[in-house]
Amino acid sequence: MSASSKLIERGERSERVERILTVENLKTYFRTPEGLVKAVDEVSFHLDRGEVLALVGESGCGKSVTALSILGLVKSPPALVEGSIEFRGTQLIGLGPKEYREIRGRQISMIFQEPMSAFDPLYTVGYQLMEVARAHMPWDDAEAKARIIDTLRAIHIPDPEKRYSEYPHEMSGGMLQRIMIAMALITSPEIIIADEPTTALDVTIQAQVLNLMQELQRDYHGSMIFITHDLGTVAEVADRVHVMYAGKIVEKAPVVELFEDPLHPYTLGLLTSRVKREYKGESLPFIEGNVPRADELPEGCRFHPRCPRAMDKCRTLEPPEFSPRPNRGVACWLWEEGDGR
Amino acid sequence: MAGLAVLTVLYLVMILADFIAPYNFTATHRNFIYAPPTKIRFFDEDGRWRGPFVYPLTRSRDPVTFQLVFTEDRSRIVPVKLFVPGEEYKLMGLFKTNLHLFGVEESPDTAMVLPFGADRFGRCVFSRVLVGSQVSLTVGLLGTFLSVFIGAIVGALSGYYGGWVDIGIQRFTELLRSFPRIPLWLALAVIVPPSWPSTWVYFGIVTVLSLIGWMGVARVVRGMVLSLREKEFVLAAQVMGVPSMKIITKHLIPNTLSYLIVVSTLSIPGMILGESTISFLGLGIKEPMTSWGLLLKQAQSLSELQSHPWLMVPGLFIIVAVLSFNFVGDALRDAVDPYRTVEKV
Repeated sequence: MSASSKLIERGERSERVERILTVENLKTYFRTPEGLVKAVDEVSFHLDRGEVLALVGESGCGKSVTALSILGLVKSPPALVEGSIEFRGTQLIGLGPKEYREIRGRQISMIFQEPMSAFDPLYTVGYQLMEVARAHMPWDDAEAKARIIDTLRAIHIPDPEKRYSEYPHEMSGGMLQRIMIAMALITSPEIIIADEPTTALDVTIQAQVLNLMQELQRDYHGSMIFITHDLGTVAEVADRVHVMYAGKIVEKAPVVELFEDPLHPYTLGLLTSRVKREYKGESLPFIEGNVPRADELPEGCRFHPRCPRAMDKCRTLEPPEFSPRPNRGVACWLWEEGDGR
Repeated sequence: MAGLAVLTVLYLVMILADFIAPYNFTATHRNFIYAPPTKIRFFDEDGRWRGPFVYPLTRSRDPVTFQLVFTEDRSRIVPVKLFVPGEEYKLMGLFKTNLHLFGVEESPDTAMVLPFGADRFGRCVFSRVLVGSQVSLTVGLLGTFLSVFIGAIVGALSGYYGGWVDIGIQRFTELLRSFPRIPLWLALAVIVPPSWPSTWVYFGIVTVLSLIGWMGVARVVRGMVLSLREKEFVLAAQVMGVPSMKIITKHLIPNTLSYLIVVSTLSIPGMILGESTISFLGLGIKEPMTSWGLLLKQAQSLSELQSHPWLMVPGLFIIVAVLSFNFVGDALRDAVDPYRTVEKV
């Protein structure tokens, strides 16, 4: 199913949009001996029920830190987390550890990049699924086990009773990743944060896992924040895309529009540096330079040293978010007045 | 392997000490003061097989040196038998019996079987070594268990929470580590009041030993936890809302278990030696309870050693036990070492 048809379908299904998560001006700064590191800087976005939001960006641009900030797992004494994270009417910033534990795993759960290291090698996967289930759900052991096995079956794991009592090292990465998805699902959370869930997998397994996640997302109708650096997977799963660069969101767009009409020069750069058939025999286009280190951010727009269209203004002033089209947002001075083409 | 076998034997003997010992370890026998180890013979004067037996001893003083000398009275033999009735005791503190594994069916006034001789009260050194092992061998186990327990928890807390907790705990352990060991032992051992009954003193000594022994474990566990907590499964557990204490006890400490087992085995000898040291210096286990260190105390002076060398026997036991634990510990360490190259035969 293409992303656009999915969008239309969703529009028909839910007339009333329920906003489930609102992040406003989120700042996550780390105090280090070298100075303040602005890992996430004034990031704002929202997530509606049943929606898949993709956070896209290169390594080190603050995607994962954003996710951990939502979960309150950024170690707070060395880090400053400011702004507002509102989850179904509850302000998450400053929430007590006990209340936060009620939300973590129960209402917001997470799928990790490395399935092999996300399980404790000492316990069976069943035990670890049970640990999550028992921490949050009012089930006794027998019921929890039955539910876990049902969930495993729902994600097409063959012979779930046998898998239940196996250790992580007895399984393949793809299998473990699916079990991790089961772990995230077992408490039927409102939001699943998937942090590059397919990066560590083989391409064939990637497709399987992506299909599975799409299927589950359809069936469970939960919301998902999908973190990735792979634009290909974005096109497959996401409804909306936010492109991050050096701790900031530089562009917000519905998925189809992003691919057809990228507004920010960085997004354009990302899209043109994908492998395409037309480039056969030539070297791939790429964006000059590297993502700046979070403790050595340039003044003004953070992208300007690498931007082919940088202006004087870009070197001194940070661009705010402009909205040149409905449902679009772009943090670039080119779009200050009308068209930035 | 040999180490393990020796240890098994030592601990079995320890459990059955009262039964194997031919005499009560506190019983004094004034006719056998400083008696040398009795020779157990099988053939009599005429070379006839008589089964195991001993000759009764008669005591006299050397008219020149004025030392006690024991001469064998060869006129009659006293057979050594298995399962002879002797003094009453409770086997493992449960079954009342008077059977001993071996001994002579004769009053200790006239004949005794003393494999390691007797001390200055005429007490059987063999029996005392066996009973002493109950203290010496369990002090090692208990003390190590306690110190590894403390060390693992302190180290895991320090490594998991990091920051100020970590700095505080680490400076504190460094402070404790920088005290010289033996004076600290002695200082702590002095706190144990002399009026305490001997079982209390025993636990006092265990506490003293483990209070000083946990720092090394804490340091290494902290280091391991520092690396473990960055593993994704810890983050995953946090994300899934597992409480911190449960993460520490269920995921972090069990993942350091292979190290803990090795370090325990390797630190038992230190504990045994520590107890021996304290007791040897007279601040540990007190009479009438006994331990290998306390037994060695009698062998303190050179003249004593010269005339009664069998009083050194407890020292041999300490050496054997310590070496065995070291061998087993080394073997365990090699077994859990992932970098060990496997030799294919």
